[in-house]
Amino acid sequence: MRSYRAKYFDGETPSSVEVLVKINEAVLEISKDGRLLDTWPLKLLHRDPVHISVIVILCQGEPDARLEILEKDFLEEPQLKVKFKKEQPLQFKKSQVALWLSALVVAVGVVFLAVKPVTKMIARNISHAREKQMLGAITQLRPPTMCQLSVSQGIAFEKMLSKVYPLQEGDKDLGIEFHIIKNAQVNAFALPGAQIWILSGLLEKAQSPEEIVGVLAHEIEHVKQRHILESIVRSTLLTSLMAISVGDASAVLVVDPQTASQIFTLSFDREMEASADKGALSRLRQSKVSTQGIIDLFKRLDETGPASKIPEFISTHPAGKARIEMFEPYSIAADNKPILTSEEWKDLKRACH
Amino acid sequence: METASSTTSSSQSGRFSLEFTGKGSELALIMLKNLFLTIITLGIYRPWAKTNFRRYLWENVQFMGDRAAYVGTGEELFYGWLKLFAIIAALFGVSNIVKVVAPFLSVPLSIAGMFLWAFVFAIATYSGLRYRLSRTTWRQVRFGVDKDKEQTKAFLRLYAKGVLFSILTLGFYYSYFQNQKRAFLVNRMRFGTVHFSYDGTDKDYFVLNAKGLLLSIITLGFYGPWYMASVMRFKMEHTQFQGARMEFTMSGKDIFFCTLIAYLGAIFSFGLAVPWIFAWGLGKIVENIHVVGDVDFAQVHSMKSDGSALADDIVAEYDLDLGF
Repeated sequence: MRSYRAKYFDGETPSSVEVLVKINEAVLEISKDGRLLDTWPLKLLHRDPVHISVIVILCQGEPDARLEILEKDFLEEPQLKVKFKKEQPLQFKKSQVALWLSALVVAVGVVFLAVKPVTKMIARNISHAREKQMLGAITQLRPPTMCQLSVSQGIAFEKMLSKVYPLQEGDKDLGIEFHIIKNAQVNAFALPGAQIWILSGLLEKAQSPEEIVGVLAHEIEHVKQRHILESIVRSTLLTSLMAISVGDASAVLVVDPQTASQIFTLSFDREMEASADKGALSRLRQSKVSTQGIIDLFKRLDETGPASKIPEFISTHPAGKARIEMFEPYSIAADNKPILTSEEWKDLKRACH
Repeated sequence: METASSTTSSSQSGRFSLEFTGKGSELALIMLKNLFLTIITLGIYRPWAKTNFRRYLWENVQFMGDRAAYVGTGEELFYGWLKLFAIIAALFGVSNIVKVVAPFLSVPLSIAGMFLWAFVFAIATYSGLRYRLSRTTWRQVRFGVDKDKEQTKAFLRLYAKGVLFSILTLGFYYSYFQNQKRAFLVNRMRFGTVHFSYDGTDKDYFVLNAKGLLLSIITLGFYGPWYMASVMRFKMEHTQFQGARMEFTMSGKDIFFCTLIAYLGAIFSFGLAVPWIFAWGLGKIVENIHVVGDVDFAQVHSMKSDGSALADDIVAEYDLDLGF
């Protein structure tokens, strides 16, 4: 029977005693200078799997005592080899690093791939009315300066809108509210609670009603295809997952008003934008509105806007050229009647003055 | 590193240094495993991850050639976290219901909530420290913090007075509060049956902080590491155990270069070097802590200690300052 050097801590006093340990049938004998200090039954032993170079042995019956075995081949003892098989500490080996690193990459990949279908499924299972009820109040958190349209401007806007909304089956259930907001930017947004905001800058810079109709069709499709809810659910899922992973219990409050207001900064991904473009094209074709308007707008934005300088793979919108190519075959409209008279158009462009 | 001379058979005299034996590569592996299991369990593994991390750090701190140990378990922290989760969710639910049902109560409720959190934080600071120390052992003897109803009440009074006076004096009292809190906790801290003691005066700590803050402002923050070193030195040098006093020998220059190297290393490695930087930085700090004087471990006996894992979770969650 071989003896091994060890440090013994009795758990009663802070004494560190150099001892010899040996296995004698069913017990581990701990002795110093030939005097037996303690015996631990082998069946009560377990290895503390701390990640250090020494072997730490604890005994179930003596919770505060500890043995630090200083010779590694102690674990080669036949009785212990099997017993401690499952109590191996994590050891720094290339194979272990590769294993955990690959597992981590796979886990992140699975989460990344699962987020999209899961959010789509959740979003599709919430009705438009429920979405409006849940998210309608969010826009109140940051009240915009809304423009009050005159009666004639209101009629002109309605005429334009009626070309693309309500147009298709189910449109009436969407209950979209349209607002013109005083803001110099050339833009329009679909927002939580089935709201579409058209910035006055867009109206001012647009060169024809067809351009606005094209943008409206695009934003309506974002609402119809539940892109807003999907983005919110995805953002909530990822935020809470990230927060919980790094240890933030307050992640349970992830949909608090502050977070909700951050939803204004949400953007749709390229897939959603392309899908909204397809839907918009379908609306424009159905209402026989020329796509030349939206093509002109894209061309101007491409030439002047910062979007043109962003490569497609990092932009949330598909590249302008690809969008133009999709709309181009339908630029010659079947219905050449102007949507608004030139007076109506000029009047509407002054909406926020 | 030790320079010791034995005065009697049981007492030792000298300058004893702490050592850190952890390695970045081992820490990286633990972090990797923790991250993976935390992600795939949607965060449930986090208490066990925290425990793994603590166990590794504690076990790699050596004093007089023997390792410290962390004997807390993931289960304890998990149940503590569940309770904290339930409390936060309940408070959030109640406050939202009140906002809808009785909006006029929102403001008084928010004020009451602030007082409630201050109370919770006070208890958590005391109890969280008790938890961590009760799970820390060296030579298998547990550290601990005394606790009884009177002491808890005294700590709450100290905390309430500290918060109130700090607000009323626009922060000037804060140094006094910090020092009183530390004195209260250290004087109740023990290793087995023997207590630590603290003799830093409020006035000295205030002067130290006033000077540190002033110079930090004047130098646009460059004095920060020297300020930090002086605070650490003050805290250590006024902490005693038996006839020995603690000592901290890291200079402001050392802290400055350590911080600089840590930031640059983390940035240029895109965060991949963090475990190595962490192990290296912690090693630098630990190796600069010494115990100087006479210690007699024959007088120390094991003693049961406890503490709340919920409190530990609150301390970690809200980053409460335990002063250690």
